[in-house]
Amino acid sequence: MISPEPANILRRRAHLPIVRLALDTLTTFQPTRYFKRWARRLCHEGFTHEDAKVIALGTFGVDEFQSQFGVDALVTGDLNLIRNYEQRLTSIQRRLRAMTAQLSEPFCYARLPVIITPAEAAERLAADVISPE
Amino acid sequence: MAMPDQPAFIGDRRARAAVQLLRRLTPPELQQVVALMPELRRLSAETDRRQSAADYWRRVLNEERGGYHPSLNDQFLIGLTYREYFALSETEQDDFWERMFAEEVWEIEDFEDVNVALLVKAAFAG
Repeated sequence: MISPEPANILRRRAHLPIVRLALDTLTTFQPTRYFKRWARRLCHEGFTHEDAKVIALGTFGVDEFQSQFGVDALVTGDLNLIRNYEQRLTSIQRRLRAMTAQLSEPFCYARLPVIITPAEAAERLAADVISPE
Repeated sequence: MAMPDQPAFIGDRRARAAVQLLRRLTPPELQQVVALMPELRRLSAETDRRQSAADYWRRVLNEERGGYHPSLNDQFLIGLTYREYFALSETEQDDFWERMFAEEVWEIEDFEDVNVALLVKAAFAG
């Protein structure tokens, strides 16, 4: 999946074959009701706005067909994001649990994704071991 | 085990010596080596998987291009050709992507929620 911002950037370049291929292959995730609240809380936890948006979309986002709520894994080359996420994981897991305990379906099922590098994603996909927290 | 056709892979002296030794073995002896070192099989399978994924995307992209063979002088992004992009330093490449992604920066409050009533019914109605 990709978030709406890069999707817009790609759509402006859809005349390029490599971009068309990416757009055909990727699903644009859209935020659902609690995305903003969760993103704001992630900012309070010390994540940048950019990182908070991506994590919140992976937690409370939905695909275009509403067939998938949240994602198992976010793949990024941003090692600072991965390090920051790992350091704060226990704390944000606690905050998410406290938040989702108050929510109705499907929001009460929201789970944090894992955040991994492209190389790690390839290895996990090959071994079929990507799973939510 | 099939060895990749990459000079860099056998460029290392120790690897080359090992390959010379392995080439003297009979097929049953080679099978024993693989049985004693299961990581060889995993490494081989991993290489095959990566290669097949790369082949897949190359083929799909080739179809998307209608069989056109790409050139380094083709347009890439933000007005640069592939050749010009690959000539950039690592820092310049980082700046390139920063510039492109700066085209769309939304505040958290700018996002519009989608109504997931359909998702709720479809996924959790039993």
